[in-house]
Amino acid sequence: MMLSLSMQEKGKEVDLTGLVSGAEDVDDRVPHGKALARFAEAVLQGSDSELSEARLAVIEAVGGEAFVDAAGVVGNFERMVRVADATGIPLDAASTEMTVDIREKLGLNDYAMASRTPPAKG
Amino acid sequence: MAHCPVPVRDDFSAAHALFLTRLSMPGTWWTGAERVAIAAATRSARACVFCEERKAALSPYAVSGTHTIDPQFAGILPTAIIDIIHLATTDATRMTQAAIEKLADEGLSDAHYVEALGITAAIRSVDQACRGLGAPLHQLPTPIEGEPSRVRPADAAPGEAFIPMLPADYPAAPNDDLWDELGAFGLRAMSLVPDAVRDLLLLSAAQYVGIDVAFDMSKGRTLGREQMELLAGRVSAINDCFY
Repeated sequence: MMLSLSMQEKGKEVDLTGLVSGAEDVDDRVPHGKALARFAEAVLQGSDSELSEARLAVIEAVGGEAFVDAAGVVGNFERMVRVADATGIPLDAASTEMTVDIREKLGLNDYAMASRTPPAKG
Repeated sequence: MAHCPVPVRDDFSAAHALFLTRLSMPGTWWTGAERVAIAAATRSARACVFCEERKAALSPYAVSGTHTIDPQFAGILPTAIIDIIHLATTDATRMTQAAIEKLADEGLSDAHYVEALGITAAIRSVDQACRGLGAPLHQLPTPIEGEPSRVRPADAAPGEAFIPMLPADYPAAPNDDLWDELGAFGLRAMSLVPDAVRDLLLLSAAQYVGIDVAFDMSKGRTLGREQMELLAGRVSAINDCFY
């Protein structure tokens, strides 16, 4: 949802499919989105050599300062997902309402913790 | 951050340093030595064979075994907290309220769990940022002696999550620094131990954006906000995180 909102801020739409299916499907309307997604995948799942390659690609694409931002965001959300899942919090009411279509389209309602969130009222 | 291929901004390094200092100190329910051991146990989970077996099993409780731990930290933590730290690190989507409540069998409360989870999540965040940067992991700090404060927020209430949380509205002092008018679940999740929320805010401000602009999509960093949210979404999806 936050990716959609941030793209709307720039007056653009975005296809979210790549968030779930992987870097190759990331929407090119997100600048250097495929390189960034590959970097996230390499930090979480890649070998050291895969990560090294992905790291260099991001530095070349967005520059050193933005690369540091990218590494920070990946680390940050490695924390946020564990906090959310391991405390069993539901989605906030506003998020629940706004993400009905996105969750349906991306199959997120099949995720284990989806049952923690009551259905949207609308 | 000396081995990083590019310079790292000062606030980023300073947030890591401050978190590590806070980690070394007595917390709310755990001593400094125990807090550092929790961070070490989180790191050990990355290469824990039993965690791999458990994750592959239909139920995490269908298999038995022993977790990999760093021998330097052996004997510091109760077995039950090591087990649940490893679960939160490697298979968090299968956490249950029953697993948390079972900690009481070893004399551990829900607040012990929340503080441990806060440490686990924070050190994972710091470590993964370092891995991304190409920098070595920070050395864990030497613990500072002293007793935990053992202060439980009186207004924390059960019912919305696996653990009690502060209400969503403006928190009473001394926790009125945590959020303003309406705390989102992501902030309130660890509010049974307010210092765990403070660690979250500290690291988020350096590694993502400050809470004051978290919902303002016009605010990013050198990296555009949409690029940041792409990374956030991809990390969440890889972790099968619904939130």
